[in-house]
Amino acid sequence: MTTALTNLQMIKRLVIKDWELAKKTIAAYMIAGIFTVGLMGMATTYTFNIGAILMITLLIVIGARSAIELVVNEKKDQTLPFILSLPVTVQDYALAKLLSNLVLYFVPWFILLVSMLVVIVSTPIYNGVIPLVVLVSMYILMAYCFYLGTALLSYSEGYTVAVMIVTNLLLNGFIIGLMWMPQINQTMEAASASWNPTSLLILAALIAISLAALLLTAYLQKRKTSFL
Amino acid sequence: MQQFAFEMQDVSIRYPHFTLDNLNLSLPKGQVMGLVGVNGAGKSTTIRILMGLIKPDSGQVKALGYDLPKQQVAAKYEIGFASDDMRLYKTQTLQWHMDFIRSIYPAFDTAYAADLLKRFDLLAEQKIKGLSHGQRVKACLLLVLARRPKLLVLDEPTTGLDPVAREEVISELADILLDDERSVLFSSHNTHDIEKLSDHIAFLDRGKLLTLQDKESYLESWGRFRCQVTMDNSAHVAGAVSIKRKGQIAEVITDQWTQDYATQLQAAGFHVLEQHRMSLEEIFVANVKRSR
Amino acid sequence: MNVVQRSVRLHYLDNLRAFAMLAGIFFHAALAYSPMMHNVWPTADAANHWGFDVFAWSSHLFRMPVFFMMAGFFAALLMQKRGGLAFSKNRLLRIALPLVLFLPILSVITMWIIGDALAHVTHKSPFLGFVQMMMTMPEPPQPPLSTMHLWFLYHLLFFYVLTYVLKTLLGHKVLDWLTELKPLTLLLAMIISMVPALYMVSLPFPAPEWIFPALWALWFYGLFFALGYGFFSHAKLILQFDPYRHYWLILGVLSFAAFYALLPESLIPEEYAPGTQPVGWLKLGMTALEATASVVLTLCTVLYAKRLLNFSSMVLRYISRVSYWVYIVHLPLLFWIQFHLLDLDWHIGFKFIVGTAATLLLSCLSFHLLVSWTSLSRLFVGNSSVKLSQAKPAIQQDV
Repeated sequence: MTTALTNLQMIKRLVIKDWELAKKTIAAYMIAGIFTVGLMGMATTYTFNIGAILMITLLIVIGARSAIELVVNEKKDQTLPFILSLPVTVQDYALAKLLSNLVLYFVPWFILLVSMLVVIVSTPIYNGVIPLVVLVSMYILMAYCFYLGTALLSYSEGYTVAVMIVTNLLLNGFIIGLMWMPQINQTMEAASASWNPTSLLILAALIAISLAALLLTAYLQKRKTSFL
Repeated sequence: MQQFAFEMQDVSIRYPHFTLDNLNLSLPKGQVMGLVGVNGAGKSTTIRILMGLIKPDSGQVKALGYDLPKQQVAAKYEIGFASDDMRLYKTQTLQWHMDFIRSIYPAFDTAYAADLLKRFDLLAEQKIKGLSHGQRVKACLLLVLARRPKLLVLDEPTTGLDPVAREEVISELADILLDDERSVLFSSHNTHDIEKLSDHIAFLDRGKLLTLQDKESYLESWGRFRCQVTMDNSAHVAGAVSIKRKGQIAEVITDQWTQDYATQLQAAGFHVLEQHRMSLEEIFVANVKRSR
Repeated sequence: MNVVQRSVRLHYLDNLRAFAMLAGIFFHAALAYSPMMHNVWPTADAANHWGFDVFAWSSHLFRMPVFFMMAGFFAALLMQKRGGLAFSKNRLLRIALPLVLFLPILSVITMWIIGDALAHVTHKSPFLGFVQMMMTMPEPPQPPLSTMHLWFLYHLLFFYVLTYVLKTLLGHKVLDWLTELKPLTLLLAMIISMVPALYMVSLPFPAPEWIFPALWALWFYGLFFALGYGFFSHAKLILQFDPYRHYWLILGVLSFAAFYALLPESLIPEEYAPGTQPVGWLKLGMTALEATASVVLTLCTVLYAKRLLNFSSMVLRYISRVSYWVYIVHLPLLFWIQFHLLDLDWHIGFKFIVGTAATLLLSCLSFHLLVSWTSLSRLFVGNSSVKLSQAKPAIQQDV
């Protein structure tokens, strides 16, 4: 099959198309994002906590919506045959989907994470919570990679939602697990962020698992013979 | 210089409940082929294989000289494909879709698109979700036709249309096919549509190609005879596809109709009461029955 | 409709921009001699006079709102003229890039100027004394991350994003509906909706210069931005306000007078001097006065400018041309000059004149040295900022 990279022009078109289709949704996220960042930026403990909760919610909502709206619905709404009638291979298509979803998710994820860190660094909030914040954000990104992969491979709303529910339920367990670890909780109220081998190992594992999920998705996608 | 718009050689694919078996199908350039089959006959599978969307287990597929599915990207620049399960983006307008297609196909003919818009009685600024099924089919056709493909592949373009919309679509298609020298493959379970548009007609059933002939050959070679039979034992006549008896009356169908066939029947002891030419639908049904 | 194709220059907006920029320099310069800001302002002089407070706080209520209103107007103009993509490119080049380039430079320079003042000024301001005290602490706290006076650019970027977002989500419907309201209803709605936002912050409203967008400022200045946007896209809107301008001027002056009379003697931030800021009903009432004065005076400024400043003047055109650059560089220059004035035994009126004149002079000089002939001019000098070429007929009839 044609390798994906020879058809960059079309992949770009498909990503732009996804952007155009998701324009209204993205606009709504932007308002929510600015509001949340503004709330956290008011720099009182109360507004910071509300902002942080809103932010995690927002990240989960954006992830879930983009996987469903841009991937699963393309199959459900039967626009997939239309796109596949264009000069693309199924691999091009899958790569374009992966890219548009990652951009759509990764950019807000990154902005929100950086905002959160800036608030922590520039306010009296203990900088010791930074590893926790980074690890939780990274877990959310990893969960996103999981259900994006599920959506891209199965095109099934059921499976995708199931993976979302499971990973989000496990988020609570993950946070509780982190708080319970002495290596994490003992440095939480320190004046500066302290990364130790444990937290670094967890971070590396999360990143590795996320990448592995994406690579596995790409690999399984390539092995598919029938696409409609 | 290759002569065929597409060629499928010994194409097979096996699914748990369906097998496409050693399919050989080709269409000379500039011709229109109708693919007839009941639901589940394998029409869509055949077309998807041709579009490179499904990789067959074995066999070779070429369209416009490109190997499929290997060269599908290049091939799809020149093939226009629309199917009845194809939907456009509900939240966008037809204009948005036209702009999208134009940005992909350099050959997109804006003037022709505007013309088709008028002929199909569509509004460019209307959102797809506000269109009727007939209008949606027309919108899909417009998007496909305006890119002026060398090969047009339509999978059940008239399915689900009300009689008026169906008539409109068919007559527009017929018009368009006159205008252009394009090769067309289109499938339907409706023989009337096929009959109106096609030069070549292929009958497909249960994953097998039954026959492939040009339209005139079908209509000329098939005939039905109502006969009176005197003898009790079942008789055989050369060239009869089926003989149905009801008491002393027998209905004989042949695919080797000639001026002399009635005489042959008489000689075999069939007293011909009436003879009819057959419609394509009847020919198709007879074909399917024979194969099963 | 008779659409005039020739370019029409809206002189009054050019001129208004020039005046508003000058007012900004005067404002910052006046704070050094303001009794209310004595304990807070870096260059606060030992001597002061209430006259500076009256000038500073009255202009404060409408100067930045006028800028935001103009920004909204030009955003609509640019978007209509060039389309969304060119608009974003233009704004990135002219707003985002200067912010990113100059915020670090100005921060470093300002830090240096303050350090210099700490070392060399004998009659230190309370602010300098406070900084000096902090420096002697074993672990001196980090100065807060600030966008300085460039908060204007920073918040503008958010308004551009929000404009795009609202256009995408709502189309023109809401704006159309709002502009159909009666002028008085619209103003009342603006004032009332501003009160909660302004109530969140101290009196008079501060500069939202922290590195996070301030929600109250996004709402407060956003309304002015939206009004400016509406003035362009619904050209008859501004005409509807015109007949009432005198009443609004009176209302604005009276509201400000009451507001000013109720202001505390010293405007130290609440966290350093608890109990100095008004609270409860008093604060609510003052906030309402503040919002009223702010809205009607901003509107009056534009309406009167349209009548009185709609002429072409070489001087004002020049000031308008240099205004963006002057805005960027004036504050550190002013601080530097005023720190040096602290030890001089001059009358504060004279110091004020010398400070502003020298700042203006040096800013303009630096414009010719660094900007006018370099590629910086692409960022800071618009080619023809206030031209309408294919704009709506209503505006054309109007100018």
